[in-house]
Amino acid sequence: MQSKLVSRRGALKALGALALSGVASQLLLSTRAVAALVPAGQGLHDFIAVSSTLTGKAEVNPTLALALYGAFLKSSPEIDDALARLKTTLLGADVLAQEDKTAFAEAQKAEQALSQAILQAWYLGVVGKGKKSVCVAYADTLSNQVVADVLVPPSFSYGPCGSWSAKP
Amino acid sequence: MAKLFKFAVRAVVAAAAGVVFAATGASYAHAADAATPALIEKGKNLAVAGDCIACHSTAGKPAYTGGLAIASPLGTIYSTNITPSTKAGIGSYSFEQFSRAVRGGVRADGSHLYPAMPYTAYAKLTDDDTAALYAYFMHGVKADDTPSPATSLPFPFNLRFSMAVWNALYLDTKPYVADKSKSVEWNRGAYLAQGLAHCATCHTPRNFLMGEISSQYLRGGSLGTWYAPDITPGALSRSGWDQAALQAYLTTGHAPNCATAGGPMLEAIDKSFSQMDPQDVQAMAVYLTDLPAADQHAAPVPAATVLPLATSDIAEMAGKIGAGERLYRNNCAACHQVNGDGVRGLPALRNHPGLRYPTADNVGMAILEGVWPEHKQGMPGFEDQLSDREVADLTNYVMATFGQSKVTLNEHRVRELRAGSATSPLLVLSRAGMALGVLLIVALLWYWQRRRTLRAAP
Amino acid sequence: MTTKNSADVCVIGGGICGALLARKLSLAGQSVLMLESGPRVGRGELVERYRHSAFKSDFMAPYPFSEMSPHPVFTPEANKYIEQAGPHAFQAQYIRMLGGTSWHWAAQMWRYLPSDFKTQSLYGVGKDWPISYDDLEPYYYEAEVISGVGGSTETGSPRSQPFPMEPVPASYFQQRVTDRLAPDFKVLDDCTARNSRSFDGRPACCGNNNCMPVCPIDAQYHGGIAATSAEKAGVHTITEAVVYKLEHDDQGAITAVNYYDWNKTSHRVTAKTFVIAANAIESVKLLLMSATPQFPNGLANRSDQMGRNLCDHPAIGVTFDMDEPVWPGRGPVSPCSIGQFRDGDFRREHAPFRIDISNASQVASVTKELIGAGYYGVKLEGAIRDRASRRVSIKNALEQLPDPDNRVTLSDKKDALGLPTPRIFWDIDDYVKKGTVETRKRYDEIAKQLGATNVKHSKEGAFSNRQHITGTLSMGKDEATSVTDPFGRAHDHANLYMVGTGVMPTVGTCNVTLTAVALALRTADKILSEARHG
Repeated sequence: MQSKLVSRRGALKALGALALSGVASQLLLSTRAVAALVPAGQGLHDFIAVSSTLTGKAEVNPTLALALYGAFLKSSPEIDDALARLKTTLLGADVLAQEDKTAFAEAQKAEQALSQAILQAWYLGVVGKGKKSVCVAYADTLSNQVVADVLVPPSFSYGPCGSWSAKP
Repeated sequence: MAKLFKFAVRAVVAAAAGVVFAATGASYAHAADAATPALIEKGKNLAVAGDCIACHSTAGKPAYTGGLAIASPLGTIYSTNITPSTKAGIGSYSFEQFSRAVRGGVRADGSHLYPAMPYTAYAKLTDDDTAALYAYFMHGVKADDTPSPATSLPFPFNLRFSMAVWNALYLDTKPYVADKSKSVEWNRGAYLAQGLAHCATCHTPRNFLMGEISSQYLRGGSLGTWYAPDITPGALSRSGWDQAALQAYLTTGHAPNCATAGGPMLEAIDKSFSQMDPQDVQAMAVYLTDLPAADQHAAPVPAATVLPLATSDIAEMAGKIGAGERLYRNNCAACHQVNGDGVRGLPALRNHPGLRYPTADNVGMAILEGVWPEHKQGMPGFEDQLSDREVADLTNYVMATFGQSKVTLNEHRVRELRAGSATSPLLVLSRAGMALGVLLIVALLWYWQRRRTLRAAP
Repeated sequence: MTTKNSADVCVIGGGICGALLARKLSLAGQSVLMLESGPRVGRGELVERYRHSAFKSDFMAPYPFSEMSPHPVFTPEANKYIEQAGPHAFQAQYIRMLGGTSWHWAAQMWRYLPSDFKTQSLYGVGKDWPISYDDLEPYYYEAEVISGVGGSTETGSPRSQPFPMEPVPASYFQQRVTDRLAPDFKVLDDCTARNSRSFDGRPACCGNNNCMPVCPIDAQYHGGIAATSAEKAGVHTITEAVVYKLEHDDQGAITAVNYYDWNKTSHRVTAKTFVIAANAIESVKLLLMSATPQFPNGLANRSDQMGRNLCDHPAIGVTFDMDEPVWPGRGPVSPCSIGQFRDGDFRREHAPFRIDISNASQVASVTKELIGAGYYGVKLEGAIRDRASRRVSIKNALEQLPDPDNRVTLSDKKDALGLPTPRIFWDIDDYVKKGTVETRKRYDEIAKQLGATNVKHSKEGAFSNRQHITGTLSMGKDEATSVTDPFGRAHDHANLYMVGTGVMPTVGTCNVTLTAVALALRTADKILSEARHG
């Protein structure tokens, strides 16, 4: 078991590398899903690139990336085109000129909405709107990770009764 | 026939031994009368070490008035009122009678106690300590007239004189004798562990007749539901117990090797070990972890540790996890965390020594009943919420994932755990045996009668 | 003897009030049959549904919806189960499931103030109750013992016995806010049925910070626990049993109850005594559906007050960022409040209110806010930490005065079983509006004292519902102006009783469950004494 766990982590890292090269889908997903992704291998690549830029993280969790991308694909089949456009837009000088907030132009409303949807996916684990929303992850989401030294995601225990009295 | 005769003789001898036993107690009558505050206090501490209150009290009733229903494979045994009440308790007991009960398993009226009362362990008590206990129970405990229910085991176990036979086989009436090759501290620990703390009562497996198998001393035994593990020095060393860990465990119920106490051991810790003099607890830990020199050199094979688990809830959200894991995440992960590492003192399951036992009964029991320390954070039970199948699946997930154990529970065993214990076959067999014996006598009588008749015929 | 179809007492509704009444009757030797329209769902399943939900701030998300026993749904799309007929939408939120709505509460168990029972005599507003605080005091205690209530001793509600439970230790957040607001504002421990030690086979709180919508370890009491305890006490429970009609005889005594199971098969149950415990809205619906020529306005409605005088605690809120990191989200969700505006002569002029300070984790909320504002990258993370550590969220509970025009009736729509759905007319009076003006002043003072930035009040003129639904089955001495007598017995039907928040004539200045449970226990005693002498 010991060696299996170590290599599982190793496998995830390898997956990340492979994902970036677009080959991962062939190894991980069922043949049906692979068939769905094969023509859009670039889409996953763009999703990861855009996610990396928007979250400010050089490396994103590859398993989560795959799951989120899959959810995006399911809710909007034209996502790959939208991702390509967003990627291009973000490369433009103005949008990310400020360090803290994006600055999309009036004509870039669609790209702005997608950028927020992608951030919502990474930070809150939710993809889609209204009845089509789906929760892809919870404890792994970036919003829970960023405060994990002080808080726990609701529905998980903080500690024995009274352990919250001390200053965090 | 000859065999039967020999057996009867031994029973008589056992009864006679009881009389002799009482006689030796007489010379201490004067010591027992001198119930000084110091002696009473000493007796009180000894009563804590012996954990008398655990069995001789029930929640909501005054202390030591008994009435606790003790489930045994032979039926329910009720503990008795041992306050100094003359109406309902032992108020009229002389010191000799007290000593005979505690160390010999014989009541003042001459009838035998069932070994639910661990008198076979208390037999190790010195006369001085017995006198202190007597002083405490006569003068330090509040008399209360609340009567305890009578015990009536099914026939033939309600014939208490049968215990005389059992005692002949299993009662060693000799008080503790020090091992001169060991330290004072070791001997103190041995005296307490073998005597008042009565570890062997649970941790030594029992034979068909419910007697301790002395060759398997402390090698672990089932109490019907909870399992008392092997606590011989070799076994302790192999599962990450050293003296300090054992001391921490006995004092707090938690140990640095991830162990947490549950069930009857937790009760013993709450009511007895945690309240004992720390030096006595240390002495017992010294005794219990004393590995023979020969075994010390053979480096103990450490149990394979389970490495930290990488967890994620993506598969869970996608509905792609197994039944056991799903039950764990929904019912247990809130406190024990998805990765089984606990949080801020809520216990970890990963590498918990309890997951390395040869049985998964304790995990099943913890899930069914919960874990309820007297003063600390408790764990709820799930017997109302989970089916037998679910408890089995959940137990097996925990054992495999956090303990790398292949030991499992099945639904049938879970049902038994819920019911309290499997019944002992002794009841059926003894009745069958007796029925057979009666048939034999009837057959013999008939044969003998027939022979007479035949002889008488011309 | 309880069979599937008859018992001494039939209780309609398996929520906290119905279950505890049923339990008390059963323990005293009555045979009790409890009918619950919704399903039986285990806690583990609810926890899973919460974690898997895409709408974690929707407290109804974990609770399965069924067309057979429908309840209002608002997220992600409103199902419009309740037809809104008035100027303010009464956004009722309740759970039709064994255990009822208190599955997703914060275990607030408050006693009314003595003056809450007589606002008409004291302040010339609202109604006087037909009973006093002293009449209810022993039942308050009985309810507190059952559920394990602990809290502040400075609430203004006198006690004959100390709290049965010690309060849960205050988080650092609560301590800091308390210190910073003193002495102008006194922040008190809430009175809650939350374990600070093992009790009742349930562990102490471990800070899951998820009281609403579901406590994963049942450290807090709720109706599901009450229902389990009722069953253990011998109450025969049938779930997925949607009662749709009560039958009566010529004298008006109720003779039987009809219910649909979820296969739409009708069943008939007889009993000597009947108790409606189906919440303040669904109970009204049932009584209206049971109209007959003898009772053309519905059962228990000769007074024409049944369904009227609907009240809730309209609420307004404020959020802001305190000037020091205090990290809400550690410990229980609703631990403390300010009670000094609950009572006083000002009640002649404007609504009193309680101010609740939330300890719920603000992480998800600030994250949404920041993403919506365009934050990204490393700065987004820093901003999430910063705001989540300082975000204070406060809301209040304003006492609304009973108004007969605020009422529950039947709409023209039918649900999947062919039963009419509720229609509600609700308005907010000036009394409440003046109360909100005062509240906003207090909010601003509080914000100032905490060095707040980013202060955001809830929308002017808009109110949220606190789900403390009262008034529709009001008790009173005068049959012309009330539905039930001081023991919750219907004036018009000698063997019909009602429990739940609906019998409360006023909504008071605090959460209503403890009062409703105390009344239910008192009603149980009445039923028992009638059974003994009847």
